[in-house]
Amino acid sequence: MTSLRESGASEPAGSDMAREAIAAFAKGLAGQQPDPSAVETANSIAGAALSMTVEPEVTVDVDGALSFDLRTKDGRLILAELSPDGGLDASVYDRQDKFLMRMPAATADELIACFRG
Amino acid sequence: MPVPPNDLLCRFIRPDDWSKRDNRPRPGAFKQPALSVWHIERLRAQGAAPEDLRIEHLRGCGQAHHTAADYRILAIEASIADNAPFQVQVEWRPEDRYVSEPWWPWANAHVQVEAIEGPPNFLVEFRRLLALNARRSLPPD
Repeated sequence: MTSLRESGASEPAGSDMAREAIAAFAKGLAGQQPDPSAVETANSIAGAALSMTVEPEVTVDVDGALSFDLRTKDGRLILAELSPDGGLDASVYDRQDKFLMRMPAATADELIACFRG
Repeated sequence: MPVPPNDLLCRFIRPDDWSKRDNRPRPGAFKQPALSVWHIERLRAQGAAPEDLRIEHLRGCGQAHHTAADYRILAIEASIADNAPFQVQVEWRPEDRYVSEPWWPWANAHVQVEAIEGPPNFLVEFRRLLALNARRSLPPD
């Protein structure tokens, strides 16, 4: 599985941001740590996003969820939120940012498959 | 009391919530059970500007401006797109329990956007529409 745990010299854009966000996500908000499987899912999605999307942006939201703001190489926008309990909710938009589909209970594999188009 | 529809409101955008790739706020910037925004005309009436409120944890924040009507209309659009019930209200909230002490001098300009139907943290589509449709946005420092 792709992981962001180790830092390298020739990393894609967004690597540091993703690593920091996942570290904050893993730490949890107000002492409430996420399920370990959610952290694994986060690493898996971020690893794929870094190699398959353009300048992925990964942040921790005010409620402790991890947000992925992704632009695929063919220009689609993918917004995904991973909650601390491991729930994954994603929406996909076309190149003009028009809504294409919603994935309210996606798996990491289903989401990563969207990166390919 | 509801805010008049054409009045401009400023949402402060923390640096983590600004997309450098797309040069706009990220949808996550609008993820709050009660979204604090500031009424620009009331700030101006006291000789202030939104920039003056960038103190404490708002230091260095960017801005996204929408009208009260934008919030209500985009909520309807999001509700239709997601096929889910969703409505917001845009109300004055000047009371101390809504405004932290450093911002008390401007409390009469404080407004909250709250879901009155649908998810309290707002629909993802609503947050996305807000990020894409700011009338004016300024990046963080």
